[in-house]
Amino acid sequence: MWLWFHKLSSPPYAYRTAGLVRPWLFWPAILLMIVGAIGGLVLAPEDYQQKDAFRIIYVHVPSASLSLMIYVVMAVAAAVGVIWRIKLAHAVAAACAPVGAWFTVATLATGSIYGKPMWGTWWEWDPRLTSELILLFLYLGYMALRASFDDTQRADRASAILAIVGVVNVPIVKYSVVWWNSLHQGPSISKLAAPSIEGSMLWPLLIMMLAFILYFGAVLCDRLRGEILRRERNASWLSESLARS
Amino acid sequence: MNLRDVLDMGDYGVYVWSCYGLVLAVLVLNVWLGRRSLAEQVLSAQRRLKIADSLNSESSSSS
Repeated sequence: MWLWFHKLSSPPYAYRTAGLVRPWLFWPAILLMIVGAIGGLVLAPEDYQQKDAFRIIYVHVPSASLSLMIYVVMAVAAAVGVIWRIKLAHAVAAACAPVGAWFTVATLATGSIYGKPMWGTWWEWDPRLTSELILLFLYLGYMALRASFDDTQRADRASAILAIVGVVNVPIVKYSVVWWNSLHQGPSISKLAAPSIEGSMLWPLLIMMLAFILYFGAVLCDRLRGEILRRERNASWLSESLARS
Repeated sequence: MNLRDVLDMGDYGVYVWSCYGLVLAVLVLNVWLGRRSLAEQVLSAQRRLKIADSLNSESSSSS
């Protein structure tokens, strides 16, 4: 296991592996998204209170959970990079940031559109919404900090600290609806208790969440390969790998 | 449920479909941005390797 990790941390191996793995993540993700969308838009019954507007959760919730998950992946990768001085881990963190930022934008935008018919407002300075907005600023801050250094190693270290410190915001976003009196509805899926959502409404949501995770894996593969090439400017393995691609 | 019902979404059609359209746009955009950044790096790496090769062949022919 450790040997495999050690092997994976080598840029040429990671570059090749990411290229091989990508289609196995991308196409199942597309297939599951189609199934999840049909399930959410057509097969799931309408909600007794929110009527058909509740169908927004099938894109809003997977985007939101992905925006948090990507931040955790980014922070863990940054921490691994700082602690064990693994350059590839910093490359993973750098590759995560723009994708995470886009999904945070998608979460805020779909949440805002969902909020209008349900709460009567596009925006409210509510704990959940505000902490998700802070998450977007953390992503943007991370990317801006990286861009402000010419030296990649200094950019890696400085941005890693921001990513690690910012991870404190993740449980705040997650539990904001439990800790504070929020306009946002409480959790519907919980591992500790039975889900407060009917099975016929739950399965498309779980499929969509899985699809979004696989999709992120596929996009990360492309981003990571680009990041590896940018960093390994003069490596001897490049000529062999590029000749093959 | 007929097509009209699916499009109308019980008068919430504008909200539901704009959310799906927006997320679809983000999904497509991220694939495109990822592919583009990879393609750019592949091109620039190939260019660098070509220059390095031509410099190597020049130095070997002059010596």
